[in-house]
Amino acid sequence: MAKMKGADILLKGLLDQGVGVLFGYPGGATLPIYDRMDDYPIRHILVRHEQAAAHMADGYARASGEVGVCLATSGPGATNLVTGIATAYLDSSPIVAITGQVERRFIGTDAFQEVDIVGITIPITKHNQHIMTAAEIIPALKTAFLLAKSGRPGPVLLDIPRDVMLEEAEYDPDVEVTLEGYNPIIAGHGGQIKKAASLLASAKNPVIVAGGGVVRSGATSELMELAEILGAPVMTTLMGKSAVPQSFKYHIGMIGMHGTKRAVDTLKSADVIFAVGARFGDRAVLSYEKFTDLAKFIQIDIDPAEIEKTVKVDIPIVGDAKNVLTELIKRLREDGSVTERKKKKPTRNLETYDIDNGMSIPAIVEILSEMKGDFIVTTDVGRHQIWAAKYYNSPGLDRGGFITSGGLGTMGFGFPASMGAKTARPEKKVVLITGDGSFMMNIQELATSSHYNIPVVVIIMNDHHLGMIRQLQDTFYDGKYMECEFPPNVEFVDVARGMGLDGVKVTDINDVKGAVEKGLESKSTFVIDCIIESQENIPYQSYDD
Amino acid sequence: MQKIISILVEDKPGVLMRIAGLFFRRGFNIEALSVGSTEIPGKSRFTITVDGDEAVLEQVRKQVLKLLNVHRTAEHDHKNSQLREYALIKINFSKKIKTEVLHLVEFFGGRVIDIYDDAAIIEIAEEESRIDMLFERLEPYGIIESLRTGKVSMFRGKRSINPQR
Repeated sequence: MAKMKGADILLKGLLDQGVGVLFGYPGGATLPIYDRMDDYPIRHILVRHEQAAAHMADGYARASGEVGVCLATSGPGATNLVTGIATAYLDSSPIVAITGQVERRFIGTDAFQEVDIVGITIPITKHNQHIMTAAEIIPALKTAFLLAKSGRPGPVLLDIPRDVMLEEAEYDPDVEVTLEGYNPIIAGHGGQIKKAASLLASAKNPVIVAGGGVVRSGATSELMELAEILGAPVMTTLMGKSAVPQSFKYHIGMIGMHGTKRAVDTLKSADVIFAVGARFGDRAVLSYEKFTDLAKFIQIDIDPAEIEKTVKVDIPIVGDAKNVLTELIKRLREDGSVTERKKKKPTRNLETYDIDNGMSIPAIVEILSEMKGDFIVTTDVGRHQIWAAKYYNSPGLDRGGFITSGGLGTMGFGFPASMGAKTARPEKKVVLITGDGSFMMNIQELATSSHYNIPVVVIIMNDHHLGMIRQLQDTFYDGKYMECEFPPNVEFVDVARGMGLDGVKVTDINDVKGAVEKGLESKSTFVIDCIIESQENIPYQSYDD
Repeated sequence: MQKIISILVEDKPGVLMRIAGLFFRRGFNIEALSVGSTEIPGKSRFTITVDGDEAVLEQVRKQVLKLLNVHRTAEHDHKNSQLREYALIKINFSKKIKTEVLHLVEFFGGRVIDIYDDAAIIEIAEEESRIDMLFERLEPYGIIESLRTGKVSMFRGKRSINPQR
């Protein structure tokens, strides 16, 4: 075992973990790493803002199921990652963020570009740590990657002082790491599964709610099988949209504040609600008190802390979705108590948008959906996001193919996440549905896209507004619109051209399809600036009739 | 409602911050906190008095166990555990009141540990209610300053926070 610099140990360690690409931006504190980088077969994507590096790592993770890695320098580089890390945290996305830090002897002295990034990111990481000697690097990397992708996935941050990267130590790839305080439960409790099976077998109107955990666990076929056995309708949360194929015969849409009426009504008439991999955030639940009264509630989640965090649960099962569903199905088949007469006919009912009012966001989403493509769809945050979740129902949308910032709701996530997704799945086309507000937040990444030729079809729903803000002010502030409108002073296509790319402005609904087709054929990012006329609000759902 | 939870952790830098921060951001109210070493090298033990009901305590336990450095937790009550507390109380002191103060302190299970410059420091390691009573009885002499550690607790019998063999 050779002695080598911390920087080399880090790079070798990353390769050992299967990392093929880093999304980063250099700085003084990380120069030792960059100095050694070209000795290793690791690709580095130089972003134009560290926030984008974090979102790219996140998009990469969501599209591939692998850990995404971003690298930033100390101080402002590290703080620029914070929004991206928090985004990954709230959506349980596995990323490892590596930040440079000032030299050990300067820590705590308010040195140049020094910031306590470990302190800052404690609330938004699954775990984080300083690496204080070069010998700690491999154990820390092993710990970080294990934590990031196992149990409930999440971001892990490693903060490495500059002099640690220059310090020499033995590179020992076989060093054992035991985590006494970490024991994720994968297999569900047999007794609980048995209870759940009997409740479901005897239920008159069972419904299944699929969340992001089904996507993460790869439990699509098990979930579909369960729906078939029970004859139960399946509805999803925002993060669970791609948990089952949109064409699945039991799929009745999204629940929650902006869900389909059908899904919410079905929830109301259910006697047993079976939720898998959904944390029941406030948007999905609508009202915690009313939700609890709806029906008997079975919840499967890999994180024990999510069980009954907000909603009372009758039968909780802690475990991995795929694992638990497999056992449950076995039980139900053995039992044989789900009789034919109890099963409902397949009830697929996903809303489609049929209103003809020219350039409106839902109409464009409908057109995109009708193309029945198998591209990955990403969104930013706002009205366009919800319209996309409601109406993008292409049968070609596979598991994990709908990428959106659900938990934190981060504007600016979409474009870098799209590039991360494309980097993970180069064989897929990636289409971004974004808003003029959101796209502007990381617009500088057009330069990154052009630099590395990472093509994304960008559809900007340009209504010159912060649409969701306008809707909220319309609904809750008597239509007093404050700071939610942009003058039409940005030509997105010109901006794209100014960074070596191309696009088209669309003002007629009949030109949308052609523009998207052109974008899909393009070998580089193509920006479609859709000028939206309609300010239609997304209907709210409620449990009241 | 007061709930007492013990938390066995790896003694790593920043653990106190992680636990305190977790309580803070989840809205768990810390009434008192005590921490120190145990018989296991590298392991420290927190005892935290939380204001909340069973549901809150359940969430505290589950969220705390998610921290990598946290290994075990235990929940204490009057039936399953000894609940103790330590306090130091400094009062005005003079030869005139010496006898009555000494008797008073002895009666409640405390000790005078220091007499200097017309002030006496009294220590007491007892259950909460007896400490409260001593405070009440010492008030008339004028309490110059005081401190309490908050409850510390341990299961009665062979049950312990350590993993069972």
